[in-house]
Amino acid sequence: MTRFRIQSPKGAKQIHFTFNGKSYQGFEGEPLAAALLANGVHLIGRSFKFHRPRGIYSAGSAEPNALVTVLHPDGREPNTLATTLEIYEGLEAVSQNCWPSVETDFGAVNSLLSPLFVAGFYYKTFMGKSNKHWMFFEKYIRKAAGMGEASVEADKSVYEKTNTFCDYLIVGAGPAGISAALEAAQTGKRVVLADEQDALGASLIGTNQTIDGLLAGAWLAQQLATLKTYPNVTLLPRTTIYGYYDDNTLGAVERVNTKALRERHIIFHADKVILATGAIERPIVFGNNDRPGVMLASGFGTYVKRHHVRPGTNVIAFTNNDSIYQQIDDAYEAGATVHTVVDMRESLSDYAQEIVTKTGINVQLGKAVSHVLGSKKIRAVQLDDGTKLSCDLLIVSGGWTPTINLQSQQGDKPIYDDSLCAFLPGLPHQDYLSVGACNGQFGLADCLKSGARALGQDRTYTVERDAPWDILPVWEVPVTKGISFVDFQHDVKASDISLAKREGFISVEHLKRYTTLGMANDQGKTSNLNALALMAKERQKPITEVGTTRFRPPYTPVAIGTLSGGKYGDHFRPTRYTSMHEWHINHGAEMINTGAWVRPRVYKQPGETVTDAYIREAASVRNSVGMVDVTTLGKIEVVGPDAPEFLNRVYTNAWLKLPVGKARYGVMLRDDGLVFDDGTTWRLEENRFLMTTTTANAANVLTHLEYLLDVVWPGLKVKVISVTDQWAGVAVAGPNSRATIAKTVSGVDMSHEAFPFMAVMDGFMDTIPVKIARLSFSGELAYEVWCPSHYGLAMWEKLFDAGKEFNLTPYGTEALGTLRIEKGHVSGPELDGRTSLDDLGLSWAFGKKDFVGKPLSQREGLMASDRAKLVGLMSKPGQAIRPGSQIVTQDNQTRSIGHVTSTTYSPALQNYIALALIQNGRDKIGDTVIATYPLKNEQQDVEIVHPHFFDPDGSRMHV
Amino acid sequence: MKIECPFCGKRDHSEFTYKGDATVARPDHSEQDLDRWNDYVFQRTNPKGAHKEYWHHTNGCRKFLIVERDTISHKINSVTLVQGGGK
Amino acid sequence: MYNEYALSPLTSASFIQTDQLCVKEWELASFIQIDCWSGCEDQVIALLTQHQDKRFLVLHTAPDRLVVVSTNHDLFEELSALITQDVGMLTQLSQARTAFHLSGHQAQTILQKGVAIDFAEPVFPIHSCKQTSISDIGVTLHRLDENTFICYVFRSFAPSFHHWLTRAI
Repeated sequence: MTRFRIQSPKGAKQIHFTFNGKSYQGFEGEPLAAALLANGVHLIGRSFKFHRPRGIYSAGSAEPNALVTVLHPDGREPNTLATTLEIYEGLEAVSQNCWPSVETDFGAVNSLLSPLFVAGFYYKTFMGKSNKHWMFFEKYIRKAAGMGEASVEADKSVYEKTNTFCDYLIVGAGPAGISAALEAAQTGKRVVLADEQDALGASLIGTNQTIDGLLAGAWLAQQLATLKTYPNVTLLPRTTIYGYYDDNTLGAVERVNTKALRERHIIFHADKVILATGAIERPIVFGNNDRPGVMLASGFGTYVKRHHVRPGTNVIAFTNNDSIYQQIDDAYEAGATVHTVVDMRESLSDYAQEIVTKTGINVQLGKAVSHVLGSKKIRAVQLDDGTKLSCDLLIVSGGWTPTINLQSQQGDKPIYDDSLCAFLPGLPHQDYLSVGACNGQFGLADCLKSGARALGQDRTYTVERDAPWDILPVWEVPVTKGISFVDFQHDVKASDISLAKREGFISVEHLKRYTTLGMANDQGKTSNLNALALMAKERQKPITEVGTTRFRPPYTPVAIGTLSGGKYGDHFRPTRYTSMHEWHINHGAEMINTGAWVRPRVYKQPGETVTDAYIREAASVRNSVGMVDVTTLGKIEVVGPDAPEFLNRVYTNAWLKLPVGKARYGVMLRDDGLVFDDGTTWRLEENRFLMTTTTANAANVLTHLEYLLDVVWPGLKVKVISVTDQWAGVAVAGPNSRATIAKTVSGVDMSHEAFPFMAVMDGFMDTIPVKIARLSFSGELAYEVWCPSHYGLAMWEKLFDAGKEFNLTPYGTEALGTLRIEKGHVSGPELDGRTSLDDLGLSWAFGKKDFVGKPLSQREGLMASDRAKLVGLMSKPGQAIRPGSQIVTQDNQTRSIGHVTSTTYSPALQNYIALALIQNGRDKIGDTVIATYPLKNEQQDVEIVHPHFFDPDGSRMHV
Repeated sequence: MKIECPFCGKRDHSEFTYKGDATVARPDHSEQDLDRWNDYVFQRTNPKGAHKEYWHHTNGCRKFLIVERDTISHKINSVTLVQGGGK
Repeated sequence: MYNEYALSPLTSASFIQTDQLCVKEWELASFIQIDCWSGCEDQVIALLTQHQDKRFLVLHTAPDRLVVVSTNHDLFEELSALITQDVGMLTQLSQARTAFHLSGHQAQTILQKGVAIDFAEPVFPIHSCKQTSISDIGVTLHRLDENTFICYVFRSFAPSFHHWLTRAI
């Protein structure tokens, strides 16, 4: 027990923590600031720009100065407020922005140069000079100013996110919030009462005011117990509502702080919101008002009443209003005395006089503190009449600022109240009410009444020792010595405001950005109003004419981990798996992500590289037979009597006469005439079609079709249904594909005559119903075999066994690409949304009938003769061509005439090949050009050839 | 922002996909005039204030909605299904 | 008799069982979507009501769209005979979905972590369904009673959904 500790907190465990490497004792759960004050520690850190010594200014989340870094085994957390950090056994905290130590900080030299470091310093100093000077000094400046240093370690904490729906969300559990909650509870509706502090009650804790005959603390305990009996009420301490969004949606952080869960991100969906967010005391601006040992009166009060800590034993108070007397009275009752009060007003109210008489405090009326003496710790104050008074703590009250951040975030324009010297909430834009101190009701009885009135109830509460409201609107004491600060956290001085005015930055938005006041982590909670008042004085205008800026979420900083709500790593996005996934893994597949799906890229055999593998796989397909999992292709059923007409309008080619049991390749355009997607569509029945799309575009195509049916042609009797997950599919390709499949199926005549190219047949593999379509993406004799998903693995294994005698090779997306590139078939890299049918060599598909995109596909820009056309490229030196390489000619190597879209090593041609889009490409067949990749300084000669490299007449598919 | 789908109820906007200006009239499928198509596909007035737009309830009923929304305040004045149907 | 080759995507998954929560895979035999032609929805519902076998539940997932879920494997054939193409189109999706059954006091709490929909009964009545998404996975959320739900997800998303559920607990 030290002389700063009044008593131990009831039932709390004594623990050890370190600050700047030194070990101290404290009580589990109390704020670090309280524990440090209890140990007589006041010097916490160094300020942002000037490296001035700073201490503990307040007792809550509005704290501007006491920022520390918490060290963890896996990292560090900077910019943590010592005033809200609950201590635990083994906590390690350190000061920020100081070197080598907070006591002896070399950065303090900045302080000496502070007359130079005015607002706009960097701009003014480096203006007009070349960038070189700024670039040289920038790194030193960056090191010299700052807050904590961020960790580069991964955040290993666990976070989660949830949604909470309620009828009443009450923000703030002070007297107004609790009174509102009591009424709301009785309605039987869902009520949530949230407060950022660990204990509910706010200003009720420890005050010696009475409510209906009970000491405030006892009244509070009783009401909380009552609230706990209602099943429809949820109490949420340690929960900060940080943001107020549209539709009465609010974001909140609950500090769970267990090993299992660090923080919970709660999205509140409230029918009605009651904002009981209270008010924050503000400083008075005077000389050296930032020294350790200068503190807000309410902060002092909280340390004494809630945490039983005396931050000083030789205490002076300085004020312009009556509220400080309540703190003096409460502190006196709790065992902490203030010996002198310096009151700027000329006379005392009866209330204040009563307290002065009771406590025996000295009063200096009509005087002001002009500056503080002492640098790392206050040792005395000098009054404006020259009197010096020694002290170890100065408590200050310049008035109270209603906390209207959430209201302001909503866009409501605050209204200035002269008698309160405060901005009050303006007209609400959403369904919320402001009650209590945030609504200008500074007296306890008024607070309690307003909470009940929010629920339409008229309650009177009898309060004793309720502090009246009286304030002298003086914001600043003329400085005789030292520097007076307005925004502590960003080191913004009163003189910066005068400077801003002189330089023309007089509007509040300019003032804010030019001086950076209100832009630190604390968003100016203790500085905004003083700044406005000072600027108003400079401009000789009322405060309302200076205006206000808008607060932005979050109210207090929120960890990125919390916002992620656990959606990172494995959980960042979902993955889709096919029925054959395990088989692929067990057979050496290296997997790759294709959109949300995971597919085999190659099946590596021992000693193989990816390139070795895909070359082997592609070669085996052309030589014998291979199989690839094609489950991921988008599949949409297009059904109904108007289905043929619909397809005919959507695809560029003709569809009305497609026979049942046949499939056809189709291309669809966007309204702007560019190619959207391609695929094959099968006619299963008269009025039932199965459309396939590229994997990547499946969702977009479905939405496109739904749009046309819902919005454009509602009269068409067509339905579209996604069936991608209903079917598992395998493409079996190669000269032995027919023989392989024939061994496994019954009920299907696999002969070439009975099963022609592009036909679709139904059959069975044992008891598994299968659909087989004779389609070829590889250019070989090939089939796609589909079955309902649950049988996918069985179907795959049967085909694999049947193919053993032909050395059937499973292949992945690399070989799939190789085979189609060798054939010049277009896919994703060519269908990039910038290519037309003709660009891709598909003008044969341009139908005579009307189709989506037809008119604009014939616009000038898409018919231009110098458009990039699809061609093939052969490497001249036999080197790999990089996809994305730009094409240039020998005589003009700085102008790109095209780019490479897809590349591969071709086992069929024994060379590296590529597909490319080149201006007038078809006229350049036979030419040699250069494929260049400047990012890696690579280039090579390539010959332009027809894109159908292998088997150009397609005869291999038709055997 | 929340959108009250007439079928599914009030949902977060992340369930929907914005699908463009609902005040422009799409030319007939058989329209050949390029200027008319150009206007429809590319020209927009981007008004300040009340605006009618298409939204697709992608993660819900997948119907298209016409939402009348204020482009400044996000306040939604009305939501209707393009095709009434069901309950 | 159901097919010996059928494999669920969750065959190697483990499920949670506590006194507050029970999660398991629900044996979904039939999941059939009925897209009704305009004005025919009531007729389709009347036809469904006439079906002798009551071993199914009807979910109204979108305007003019109904989903029938059942433990009866032959339901598609039976409904095809009953609901003809002039009234509505049937799509077999029985193997396109995996069903997760959640019950217990914690069921709502878990789901609320992924769903921004109010579970109060006037908003989400018992026996109704909500088509939505959880962690970017499309879900048909079917409420059987106050604390019992079935989540139908696309089969390919089943392992990811299971992963999400496990973590949410």
